[in-house]
Amino acid sequence: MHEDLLGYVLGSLDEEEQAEVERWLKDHPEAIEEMERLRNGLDAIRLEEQPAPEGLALRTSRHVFARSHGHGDVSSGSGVRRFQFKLTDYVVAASIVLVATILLFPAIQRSRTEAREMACKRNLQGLGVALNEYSNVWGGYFPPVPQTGQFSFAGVYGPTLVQGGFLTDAVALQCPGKGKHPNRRAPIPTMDNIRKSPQGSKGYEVLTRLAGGDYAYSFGYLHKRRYHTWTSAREDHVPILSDLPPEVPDSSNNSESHGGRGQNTLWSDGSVSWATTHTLTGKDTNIYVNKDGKVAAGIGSEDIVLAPSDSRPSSF
Amino acid sequence: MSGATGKTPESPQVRPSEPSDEELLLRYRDSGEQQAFDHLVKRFEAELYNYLRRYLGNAAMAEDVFQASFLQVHLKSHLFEEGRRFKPWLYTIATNQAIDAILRSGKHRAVSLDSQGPEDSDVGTLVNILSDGELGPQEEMEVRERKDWVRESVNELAEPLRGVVLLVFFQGLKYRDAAEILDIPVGTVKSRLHSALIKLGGALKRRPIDTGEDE
Repeated sequence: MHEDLLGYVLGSLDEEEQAEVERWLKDHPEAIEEMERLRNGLDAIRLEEQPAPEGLALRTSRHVFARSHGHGDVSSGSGVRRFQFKLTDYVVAASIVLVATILLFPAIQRSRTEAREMACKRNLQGLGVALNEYSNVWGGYFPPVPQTGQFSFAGVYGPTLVQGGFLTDAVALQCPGKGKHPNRRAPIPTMDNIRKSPQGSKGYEVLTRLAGGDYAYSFGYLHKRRYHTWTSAREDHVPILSDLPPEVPDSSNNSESHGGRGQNTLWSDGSVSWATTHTLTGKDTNIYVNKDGKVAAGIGSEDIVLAPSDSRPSSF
Repeated sequence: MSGATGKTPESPQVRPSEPSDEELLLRYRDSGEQQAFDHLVKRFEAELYNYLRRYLGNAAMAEDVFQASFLQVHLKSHLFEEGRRFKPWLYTIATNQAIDAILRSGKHRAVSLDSQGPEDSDVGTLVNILSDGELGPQEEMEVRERKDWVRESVNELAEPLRGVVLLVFFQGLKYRDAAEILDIPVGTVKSRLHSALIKLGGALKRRPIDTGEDE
C-alpha cells in the first residue's frame, strides 16, 4: 500500500506527491477499491461543520476597531412602525411590566452585573489594542512608569495613550462595574496639567489619582539594581492592567470593582481574562504587591505589580 | 482521478475573481483598509471557529479565542512578510491563543487514548481499522451517537496527535501547512495522523453498542 494514500484521500498532499500517488494507482488498480474503503471509513468519523455564532465576524471586527470607532452600535431609525396606544393598552402594559419586573428582578440584577463585567472586559480589550499599538511604535515597550520624578505614578499610562493618539476614547479608562468610585466620568488630565502641578500639592494628588482611571497598571521591575519596563516581546505573557486592587492589596480579597467576585486582567498579548484569585502566573502569588508585600516596583523579572493610578514605584 | 474527499483545502470560499487572503492582509497592512480586514474575518469565520471549538471543546472559549486571534492579526500585521501564506500564519496565531486560553483557564485535559490501540502506522492497517466493511455493529449506531463518540475520542487523544488530526483531517489543511503551524517535520505530521486515525477507528470499534435487546 502506498504510504501517501491517506494524504491523497484527504487532499493533504502537494501537487507533486499527488501526481506520484496517481501514477502509482494506475499501476496498482487493485488499490483503488482499498482507497474507496478508506475514504468511506474516514467519512464515518468525520464531524460536520457547525455554523459560527450569529454575527461573530462583525463582533470581531468591532472589537478590533473599537479603539478608533468607539463601542456604540449603529441602529437605524428607519422602517419603525408607529403604533397608537389607548389608555387600556397602557394599563395592561404597565401591569405586565410590573409583574415581569417583580418576577425577573433577581435575573435582571444578575444580568446587569454580568453586563458590567463584560463592558469592563471590552474596555480592557480596547486598552489592550492601544497599549500594543504603543508598543509597536516604541520598540516593544509599554508606556513606562518612571522610577522617580513628576510622572512617576502608575496612572501615567492614561495620559500617555490619550496624548499619543493611541486612545481616542478615554471612557475606556473607566470600569462600568465601579459605581462608587469618585473618578467616574472624570476627565483624564493631560501631561501638561500634570507637568504644571507642583508635586505634593493637592492638585497634583488629584491629577495623579484621576490619570489611570479605574484600572491598576503595571510598574516596572528592579533587576540587578536597574529599573526595567515591561515589553510585549516576552514569550511568557504578563498581566499589564487589571481592575483596581482591594483596599488591602496584600490580602486574598478580590477587587471591589465587581463586588469582590473577581477581577478582569489584560495580558501583554492583548487578551483579557477573568480571575477570582490574585495568583495569575505560576511565579507570582499576588499581582497587587511585590515580593516584599509592598505596592512598589517588582523585584526581579517575574514579579508583577499592578498598582492604582496614584501609586509610585519607589517606596522610599 | 481526484483524491480529495470533497473538500478543497486551499481557501475554499475564494472565487478566482476575489482577492487572495494574502492580498487582503497586505492591503490592510499597507493602507489600513478596514474593509480588507473585515473581509478576511468573514472569510475565516466558520472555518476558524469550528477549529477552535474542536480544539477547546467549548463554544464560548472558541468565540473569545477567535476574537483574540484576529486582534493579534491586527496587531502583528506589520510582521507579515510578502511571499508568506496567510492561512498557516492565522492558524499558528489561533493555536497559540487557544493554548494560552487553556493554560489560563486551568482546564487541562486528561489523556486516555494515548496508551490504547494499535501503533502500526501501515496504511493497510488503517484501511482495516477504518473501512466501512469492518465497522459492523457501528453501522447500526445512530449517526448522532457516533459523531458524539468521535468528538469525545478526539478530545481524549494525546495533544500531539490531536493537533494534527484537527488540522489535517478536520480542517483539510495540507501536510506542509500543518507542519508549519505545529513547527514539526512533515514526516512527523504524517505519522501522527496515521496513529491518531488508527486510535480513533479503534475507539469506534471498541465502543459498547446498545442493541436495544433485553437479556
